Order: sequence, then structure tokens, then C-alpha cells
Amino acid sequence: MNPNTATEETTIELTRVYRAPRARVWAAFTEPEQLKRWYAPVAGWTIPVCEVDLRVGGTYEIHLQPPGRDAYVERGTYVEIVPEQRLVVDLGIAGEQTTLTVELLDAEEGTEVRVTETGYSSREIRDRHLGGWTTMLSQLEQQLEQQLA
Amino acid sequence: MVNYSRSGPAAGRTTMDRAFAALSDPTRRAIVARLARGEATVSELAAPFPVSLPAISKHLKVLEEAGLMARSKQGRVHRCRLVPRALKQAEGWIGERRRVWEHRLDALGAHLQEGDR
Repeated sequence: MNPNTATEETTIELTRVYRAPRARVWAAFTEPEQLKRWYAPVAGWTIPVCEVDLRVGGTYEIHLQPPGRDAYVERGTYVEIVPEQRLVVDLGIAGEQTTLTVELLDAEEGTEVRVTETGYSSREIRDRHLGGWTTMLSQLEQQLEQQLA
Repeated sequence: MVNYSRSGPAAGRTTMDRAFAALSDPTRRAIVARLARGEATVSELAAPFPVSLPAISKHLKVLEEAGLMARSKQGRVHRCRLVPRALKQAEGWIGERRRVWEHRLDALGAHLQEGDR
């Protein structure tokens, strides 16, 4: 990414509890054959290729395949690996830098999974895509919320 | 249908592309702005524009396909309304990545359950 380009940091965080032991959830996040079965970003997409080199500095490559179109290739580098507890990955999605953190915690009757993704999307890229629409959409959204309130 | 990637040459015609393409037309923006004030029938929407009803219908179809608008039929009258969720979804990175992970974590849940059998 061009270091001179203004960037904006954005984060999402999601938490779920699964009735499964931590070891099993960890395997689902780190074993290629398991990732293939759930990592697709959208219903109907498949994962024909998944290669994982699970060590710090190692990489993974996942091909996210929409029906009838070319696959998106997601590549990540493992930054931190604490088995059954914590996984930090640097990944490039569409040329933008993103850090993904997966934390597994003991929960009552299972495992709590905390997924955090922090993206640094350049303002330039964002503006090129969104133009002035973001402003218009947020205005519309405000209007809608008033309407629905 | 969810938008996965919003840039790069392979991005293709994703949901957000469709939404923004739909909003690139001044007539459709005016229709959306009108609907933001409340539901309207097709003829109410057409009234301010110096174009034919079929031309308006075409615009409405584009908005529908972009997921920005929905219509319900009451007898012969079609009532149009905005789809707030679609507008929220067009917000960009946060909405997009959140949707992706919500889908994935649902799928992970199903995957973990399968293993129990």
C-alpha cells in the first residue's frame, strides 16, 4: 500500500459460543479439509483449494470460488499461533491489508470464539469505489430510521 | 447474495457494484430519494418525470435487482418501498466483512454439529 495515502482503520468483532471443545474448534480453523467445509464467505461458494502451513511466518492460501466466476484467492501469513487459544493472521484481501485475530475461550458447555478483523483501507481506494454515495446512503439511512422509529 | 470483495480486477458484478451502478442514474436517485420519504405507487413515482411509465418500470427493475427496493402488489397497484437493510449493507467494508463472518460462523456451527453425529 502506498504509505502516503491516507488510511482509515476499521474493525469488526464477532463472538459466538459453540458446543464443541476448543481442540475441535481450533482444528476447524487450522486444518485445510475442515476449512474447506465452512470458510466460504457466501452461501453457494466453494473452496476447491486450501493450503495451510501452520507456523509463525507460514502462509495459507484459500481459493474462494463463486459459481460461474473466477475464484478469489485469499492469502494469509500466520503472525501468532497459540494452539487452541489464539491465531493472528495478516491477510491481503483485494490488495488491502487486514489483520484477522481468532481467540478461543472456555465457555460453559463449549467454546467461545471471538473473531476480530481490522482493515486498513486506503481512503483513495474507498473513495474511488464509493464516490459520494456513502454520504447519500447515510443520509437515506437516517431518514429511514426516522421513518421506522 | 453477499459482496465479498469490493476492489481488484476480479471483483465482478457484486451486490455493492449493482447498488452503486443503480444509483449512478439521476432518475433512479430521485426515485430513491422519493421512497426515502415513504412508500409510493409506480404512478406516483412516475409523476414527476417527463418519461413514459415503461421507462420508469425499467428504472424500478434496476433498483429491485440491486436489492435497494421491493414492491408489493395490492390488486393492480404496485407499491414500492426501500429496503433499509440493502442500504445499510452498501455501507462498505464493515458491513461487508461482518456479513462474511456472520455467514462463516453460522457455517462453522453447522460444521461442528455435523461432527457430533
